[in-house]
Amino acid sequence: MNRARVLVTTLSFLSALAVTADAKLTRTGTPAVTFHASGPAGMNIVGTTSDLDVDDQGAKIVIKVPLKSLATGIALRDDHMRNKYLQIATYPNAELTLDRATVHFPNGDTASSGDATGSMAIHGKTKNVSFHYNITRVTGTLHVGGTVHLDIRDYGIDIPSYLGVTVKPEIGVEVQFTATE
Amino acid sequence: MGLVRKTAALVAALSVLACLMLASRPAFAFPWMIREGYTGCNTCHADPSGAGILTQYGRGMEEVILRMPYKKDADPGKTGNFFFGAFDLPDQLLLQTDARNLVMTVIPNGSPAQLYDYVMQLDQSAQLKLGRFRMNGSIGYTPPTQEWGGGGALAASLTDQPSSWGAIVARQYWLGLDIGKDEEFLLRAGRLNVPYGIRTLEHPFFVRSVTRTDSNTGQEHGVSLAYTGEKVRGEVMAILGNYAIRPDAFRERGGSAFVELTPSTKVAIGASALITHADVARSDLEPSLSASPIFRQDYALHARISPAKALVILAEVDALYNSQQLPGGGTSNHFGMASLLQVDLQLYQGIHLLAANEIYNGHIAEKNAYNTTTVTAWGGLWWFFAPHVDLRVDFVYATGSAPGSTPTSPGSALLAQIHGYL
Repeated sequence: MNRARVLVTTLSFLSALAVTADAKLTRTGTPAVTFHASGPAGMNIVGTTSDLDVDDQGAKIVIKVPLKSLATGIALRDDHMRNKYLQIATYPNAELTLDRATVHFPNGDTASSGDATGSMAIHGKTKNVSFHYNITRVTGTLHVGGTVHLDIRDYGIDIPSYLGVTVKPEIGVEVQFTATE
Repeated sequence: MGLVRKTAALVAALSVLACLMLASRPAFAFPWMIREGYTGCNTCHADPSGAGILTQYGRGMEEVILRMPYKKDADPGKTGNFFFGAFDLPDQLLLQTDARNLVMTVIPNGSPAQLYDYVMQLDQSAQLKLGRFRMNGSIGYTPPTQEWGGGGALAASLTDQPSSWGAIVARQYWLGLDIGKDEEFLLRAGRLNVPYGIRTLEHPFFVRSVTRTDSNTGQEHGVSLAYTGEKVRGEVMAILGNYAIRPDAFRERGGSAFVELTPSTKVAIGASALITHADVARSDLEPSLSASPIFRQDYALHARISPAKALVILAEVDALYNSQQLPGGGTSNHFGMASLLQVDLQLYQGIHLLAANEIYNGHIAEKNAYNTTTVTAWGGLWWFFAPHVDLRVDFVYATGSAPGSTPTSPGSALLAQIHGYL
């Protein structure tokens, strides 16, 4: 009985060591973050930024997207988005924090994908979200993609409306980046 | 005398407009707005398939992304509103007053140049939306003849013609019902733009003129159902005839439809079909036709692509088929084609360089004098230089002629037009 306890404790300790001993993720290349919003009767808005940071804290990974360069192609709309709705002066980033253990990293030059959960912080509010990820390792470089669906009302963001056209609160976000370990 | 009559006509026009300030009309149709990610039309236009009276959002976008900006990222405020925001209209009401004038020099091959001045548009249009119900219409004035700078919109005439006073024209008027959770469907009945091909302002383009689907005078009475979704939009219309023309034998009846897919916010691909029948063909529009019953069929494929924000490519190719029952028995079938390739280059916001190429032959495979291919080359500069005002200059060279084309015979034409709206 005691031997069994010692064995379990040892394995748990080694497992924890294995997690924390994983090489840290370092973002490489140019990431792409895209959000898709829609309005009444077919209106589409696509916003993009190439700002994305990966903060590998060992057991947790934080993916941070600075919002100041998020752009939709129309300057006035971008100004409203950043300052009136996202209020980036106060809340400059969107952050997804996830447990490393919830994501399966492929071994060797293989791929993995799945659904996982994490906590999303936007506009000063944090909410648990489910996201889908896919990771492909090619000669040591991880190609990471992820999608998540958000409702901006969950984050206390006013629903954008301009001259009678109101954007739907549900948005889709796609993220792609490469990283090395 | 001429001056007096012209002044009288002008006074009459202004009187009509003054009496109809509770109504309004269109002059827009910018399929190249896809460069901004606007694949559909109904966020900016009351007509779900484009053209015509602008929505409040459309007026705002005219100021924000269409007109030349003189102050970076400035919010236009009320500048884009009706009458520059002098009146606060209720949300349910849209009003628009349009005026467009064209000065055109036509230089036929081997002949002296001729100068024309056309009042292209003096329209007032309006839309009233109560809940899901809409009433939409336009009314305007066209001078009586080319001598008076008019005569071009008489297929939309409400009054008898010819008249020394010109005519009152109504290009569109309809009742509509918005259907669906997001009002993605619109059911309409009235005089409508025919849903077919690329909805463009340039009504002389062969793809619009020979198919009679332009937004100048190509409207028909009928019933339509339009759908606008995120990836698909389209409209189907039962054509009951243009009741602005007489006698009834000339009225075309049938149907038309288009569907457009948008795989991305910068690419749209569409297909259209139109099938109509009339007891007597419009040989005034197409001299090769005989005054006999006619089935007219047109089929089109089109694309709108913006590979970069500055550049938009519009393309349409149409297959044309006219089948006539001849008085002495037998049939006369005509196969034809029309195509358009247009490039819009936005040099700077508000300044557009335009180039277009058209090809038309309405009688392919026939051994007669009508089997000729007309090719045109367009070049133009369009400047949205101030709130509510734009100026455009075009040069057109044509190797032949085609129904509704500019110029109407081999040669070249230089066009300058100014458009303003309230």
